Amino acid sequence: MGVKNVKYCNPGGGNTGVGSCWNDIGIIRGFIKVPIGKTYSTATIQAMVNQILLDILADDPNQRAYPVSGIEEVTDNTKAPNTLVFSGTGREIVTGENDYSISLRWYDGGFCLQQALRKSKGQKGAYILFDSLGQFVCTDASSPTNSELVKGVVCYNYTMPVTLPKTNSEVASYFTLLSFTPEQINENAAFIDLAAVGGLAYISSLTGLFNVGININVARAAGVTKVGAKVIGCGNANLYDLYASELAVVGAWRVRNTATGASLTVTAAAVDAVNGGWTVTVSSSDPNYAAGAGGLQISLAGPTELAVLTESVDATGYESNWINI
Amino acid sequence: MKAEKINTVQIGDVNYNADYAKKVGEEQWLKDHEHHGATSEHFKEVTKDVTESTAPAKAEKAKK
Repeated sequence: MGVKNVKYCNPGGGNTGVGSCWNDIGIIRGFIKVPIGKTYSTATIQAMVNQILLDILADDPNQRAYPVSGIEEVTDNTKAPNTLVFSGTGREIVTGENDYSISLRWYDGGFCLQQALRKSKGQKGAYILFDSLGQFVCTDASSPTNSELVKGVVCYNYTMPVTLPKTNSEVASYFTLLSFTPEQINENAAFIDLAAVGGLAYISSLTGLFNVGININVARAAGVTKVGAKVIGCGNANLYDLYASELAVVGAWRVRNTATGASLTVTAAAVDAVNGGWTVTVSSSDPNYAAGAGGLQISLAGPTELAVLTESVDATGYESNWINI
Repeated sequence: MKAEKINTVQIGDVNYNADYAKKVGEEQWLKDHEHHGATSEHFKEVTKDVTESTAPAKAEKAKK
C-alpha cells in the first residue's frame, strides 16, 4: 500500500485509563533557560538534576543554563482557541489554537535580574518550567531508541521594562513574558516530579552565575600583577573576603595575549593581603608575553574550575570578565 | 571546558606551577619569581614534587 491519499490519524483517540494518582500542572514558580534542542536524560531524577547543575556552570554562555526562581504572580493572557459557528447549522468547530502567552512576575532579584534577563529579550529560547507542585514541566524528546529524554519548552521571551510604583503601597513590577506553542506542554508534555530531591524548595535554591569584575590593585611590572575580584553591581561581594586562599592558586587564573588571545602559563599565585587580592605571575619569557601596558589580559578561571576551587566554602558560581593588564 | 591538570607546589603563601618550573629550569624560574623571594632551595622543592608525581606514570609506561 502506498501513501497516496492516505491521511494519518488516530481514529480511536488515546486510551483513557487513569489511576488514582496522575500528573497535574501547578502554578509556575520559576524557569531554567537551557540551550535550545539540548536533551536531558530522565533515566533518573539525579541524572537530570546533575546535568542541569553542570550546565549552570558551563563556560560557554550558549551552552549554559540560567535558573530563575521566585515567581510571585502568573498572568495567563493566552487567547482561547478560535472557533467558527456555521450559520446554516449553528455547529461550532475549533479552527485553530493560539500560543500560550504567560507573564511571570518576580520581586526577588529586582533590577539586577531584570538587567540580566533583558539581555535575551525578544529571542527564542528553551525553558524548563518548574511549578508549585515541585516538578519540571518540559517537552518530550523521546527518540525511537531512547524514550527517557526531555528538552526545554521553546519560547519567545521578553522581559518588560520595569513598571514604576506609583504609591508607597506598591513596589516596582518586573515581568517576563513567555509565549509558546500549545503542543509542547500538552500532547508532548513531560513532567518530572522532583520530590525525591526536595521538590520546589530544592529547585528554587538553584542559582545562576554571579558576574565578577577584576580590578588591578597594582599595575603589572614585568610578569607580576596584583589584582582583586568583586561581584559586579548587585551584591558587590569581594571574593577576597570569601575565597582568599582558595583563589591563591595557579589554576584559579588565566592570562592571555590581548592581540592574539594566546594563553600564557601562570607560573605562581599568592594572596596579596596588603591590597586585599592576589599576586599573579607569568613569565616575561613566555612566548606569548607582551611587554606594553594592556598587552595582556587576566581573568579568573572558568565557572567550572572556580566551582571546584570554591566548593569547600559554598556552591555559588562565578564568571569573571577579562581586563587588560 | 575541562581544565588541564596543573601540578603545583605550595611554599608558604605562594602556589607555584611545578610543571612550569621543571620546563624552564632553575635560572629562568628564579628570575620569574624573585619578587616572591624564591631561592634555589625552593626550586628544588617545587621540581622534586613534579618528579615524584610523574614517576609512577613513567614506571607504568616502562612496563608496557
